[in-house]
Amino acid sequence: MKKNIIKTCLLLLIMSLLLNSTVFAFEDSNIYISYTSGSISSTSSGYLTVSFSVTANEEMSTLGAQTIELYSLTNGLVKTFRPSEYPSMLTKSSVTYNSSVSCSMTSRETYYAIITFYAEKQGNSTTATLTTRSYKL
Amino acid sequence: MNQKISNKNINFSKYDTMETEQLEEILRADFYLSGAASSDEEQMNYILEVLTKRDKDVLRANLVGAEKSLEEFKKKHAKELQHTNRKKRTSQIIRFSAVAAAMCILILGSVTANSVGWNIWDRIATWTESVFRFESYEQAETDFDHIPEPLKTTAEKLTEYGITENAIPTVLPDGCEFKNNSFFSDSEKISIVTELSCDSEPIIFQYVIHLRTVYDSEFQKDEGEPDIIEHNGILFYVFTNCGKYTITWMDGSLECMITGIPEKFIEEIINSI
Repeated sequence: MKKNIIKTCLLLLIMSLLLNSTVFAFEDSNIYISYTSGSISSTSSGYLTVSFSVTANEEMSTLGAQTIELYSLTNGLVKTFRPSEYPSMLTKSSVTYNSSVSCSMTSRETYYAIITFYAEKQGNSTTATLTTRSYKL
Repeated sequence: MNQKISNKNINFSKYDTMETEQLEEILRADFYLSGAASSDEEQMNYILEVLTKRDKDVLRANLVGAEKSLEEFKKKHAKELQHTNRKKRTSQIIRFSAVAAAMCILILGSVTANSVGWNIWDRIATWTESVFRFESYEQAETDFDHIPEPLKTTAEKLTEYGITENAIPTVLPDGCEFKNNSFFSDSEKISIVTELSCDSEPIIFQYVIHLRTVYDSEFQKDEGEPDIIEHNGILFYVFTNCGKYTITWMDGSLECMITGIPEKFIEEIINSI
C-alpha cells in the first residue's frame, strides 16, 4: 500500500515537472544561431500547425527554417516542409524570425516535428535542429 | 356539557367593576384549582378579556400622557433645546468640512499619485441611475527615466504587454546604440527582440512572454556547465556560444535572453535587473 502511494506521488511529480516547468535546453555551440523554439498546435478545422522561432546573435542575410519534418508516432515521416514550397519559412536581413506552417492531417494521431533552423551571413551558413513535443490531433 | 350551557345564562358583568387586583386573585386561585370541578373556563376567559382591555387602556393613557409630557418638556426647556439644535447644526458643519477635506486630500493625492505614475481615479468604480461598471484600467504610467535610451522602446513595449517587473538592465556598456526592434505575437507567445550595436559589436535583447504552459526553447552554447547567478530571487544562467556570452532567465511566463555581452559587464548588468 505504502509502495503504491510513493509510486503515485513520484508519477505525479514527474508529470507536473513535464507539464509545467520550462525546460532550459542548451544545445551545441552555433556561430550564428542563439535561440530556437518550436511547437505543434491545431486549429478547430483539423489543421496541424508547426510554429517556430529563431534568433541569431546578429543580423543575418537569411534566417528561418530549412526543413520541417512532420512525423506520426505510428507511420513515421508523413510530410516534409521546404522553403521552395513554403517561402514563409525563411526571411531576409533579420536578427529574429517567427513563422509557422500548416497542413491537414489525420485526427486521433500523435505527431511531432523536427525543425532544422538555418542562418546565413556573407556566404557562410549554419543550422540547428529542434524536436518538438508530441501532439495528439 | 350541562354546566357550560347553564353558564351561558350567567351574567359576568360584575367583573367589569371589580378591582384589577381582585380579578388577578381569582385567576391565580383558578390556576391552583386547575383540573378541579370548580374551574369555570368561560368565567376565566371573561376575566382575562377584562384584564386585557384594562391593560390596553392603560397603555393608551400612557401614550397620551407621554405626548403631553413631551410638549411640556419642550416648553420648559425651550432655551436648552435651541442650544442643542445649534450644536446639531455645528456638528453638521463639522461633518461637511470633514467630507470636503477628505475630497481635497483625494484630489491632491491623485495629483501626487499621478506625478509618480499612478492614476488612482482609474481604480474607482462608476455607476449611473441604471448601470454600474468598473472603469477599464489604463496602463499605469511607468517611469522609464532609469532605462538606458537604446532600451526605452523595449521597456515601453513590455509595459504595454503588462510586464511591469524589472526585466531590463539599467546599465549598458558604453557606446551602445539602438539598431532595430522586432515584435511578434501569436496565440502562443509575444516576442520582443531588440538589437543594439555596442562599439560595432551586436548585443541582442530578447523577451518572450509565453501564453501557454507547455513550450520548448533551446539556447545554443559551448561545451561546459552554465554559471548560475541568483539575484533578487531569480536564477540567471550565463554561458557562451562560440565564445560570445549569453544570459538567460525566467521570470514567471517571461523568458529573457541577452546575448553578445562583454564578460566584464555581466555581473553589473545582472545586478541592475
